[in-house]
Amino acid sequence: MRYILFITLIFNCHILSANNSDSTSIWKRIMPNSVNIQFAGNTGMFSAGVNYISPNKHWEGNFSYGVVPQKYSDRTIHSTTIKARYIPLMRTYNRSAEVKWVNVGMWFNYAYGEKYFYKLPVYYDAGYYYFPTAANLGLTIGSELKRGKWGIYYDFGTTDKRVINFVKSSRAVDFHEIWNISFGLSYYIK
Amino acid sequence: MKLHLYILLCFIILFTSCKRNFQYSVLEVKPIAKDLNARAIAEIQQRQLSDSLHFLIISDTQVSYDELQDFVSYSNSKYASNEIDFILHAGDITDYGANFEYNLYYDEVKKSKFPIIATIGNHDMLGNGRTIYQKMFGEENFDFEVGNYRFIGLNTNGREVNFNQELPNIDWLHNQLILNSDKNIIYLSHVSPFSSDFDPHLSEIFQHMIESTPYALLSIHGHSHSFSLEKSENNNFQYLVAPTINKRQYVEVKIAGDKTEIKQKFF
Repeated sequence: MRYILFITLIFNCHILSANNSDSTSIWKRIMPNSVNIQFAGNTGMFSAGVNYISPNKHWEGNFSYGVVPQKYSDRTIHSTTIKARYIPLMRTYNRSAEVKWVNVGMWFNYAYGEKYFYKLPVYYDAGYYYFPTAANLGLTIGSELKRGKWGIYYDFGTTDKRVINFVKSSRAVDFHEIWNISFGLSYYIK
Repeated sequence: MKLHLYILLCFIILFTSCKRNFQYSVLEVKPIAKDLNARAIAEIQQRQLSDSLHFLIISDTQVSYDELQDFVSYSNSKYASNEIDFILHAGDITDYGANFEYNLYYDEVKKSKFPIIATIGNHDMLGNGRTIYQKMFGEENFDFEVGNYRFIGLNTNGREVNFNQELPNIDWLHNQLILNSDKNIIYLSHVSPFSSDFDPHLSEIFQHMIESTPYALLSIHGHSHSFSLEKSENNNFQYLVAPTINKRQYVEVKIAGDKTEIKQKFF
């Protein structure tokens, strides 16, 4: 899966660098609206992705690949994330500055590796563990400031497993404990 | 100008709002504490211990941080500092083997005035949990001596490795048991040899080894979430299963010589 993403990214770079005059080419049509890199946020220490924006600009879809280096894991963790964002509050201040004041997102992250499972391995009885270790769901809420072709953003995020821990122990686990921060940089292609 | 203020405000909010700001992955390995077992053992060995032992056992504290918090404050107030020698945790510190859960556990137990030694549970081995346990607590198989007693901690979670006959590590255990010692032995491991999650190839030999060693007194476990205390069919050796803390229960153990007094307690 991650190789497909790499290839997609390489093709996108190719499109950017090539002075393609044919605006109706298939590459132009599948080209994302923006590309981004992100720090933290449960999708990798660093992740890079492509972002598609709906015509009314209120919805965004993001596909990213992230790594956690060996220093912070057993072996380097490779994962991919699909994220959907809804932006209910957005304002344009002048021709070059736009602020997405509130964007609410939901993501699904899948980590690759033999140590993590999505389906229970055969040596467990059905239902032995009720959760997959390879997959995580997350919620984010954040903002983005866009100026010209560049945007910076932050998100507060949490995950399904953190919410379960909070719900089951809401006295000992602080509400702010389950949230963490990510921030990133976007480059708008179109 | 307004935008600059906005950016500044965002950064102030960002860095003051979350307790642990950055999380790279649910599977990450970056525990906030190191070598907890070695530190606890050092603390125990510094204490002036009498010939007898008096300790508490908790187990299966996963997703039960409220109960763990209550237990820590209850035991801190109920028992005087010199009354209890230490607390043993019989495994399943976490539910997902996740770094954040290990950290949440530490947030609670660091408030205890008693040293706590924890063994690894099956849940603690999920994801990268095994690596986190080794960083945060130390070796999975360990032993230490307190007065006239010797404790041997083991990883017995055989199902997690598809019953590959590596857990428990019989060779390691053998090497521990051939050391000549006249100390009474107490074992600590998560899955008991009577559980279906114990490696079926090894349960008989494991039982034989731990029961037949001279001065062996007791084997402490968790995993089944319910209290039980059984005698060996062959001698006076006892198998104790500690209940989950989620039921607001723990076990109090007093040992004098080779006489044990074991009580299921509620808080």
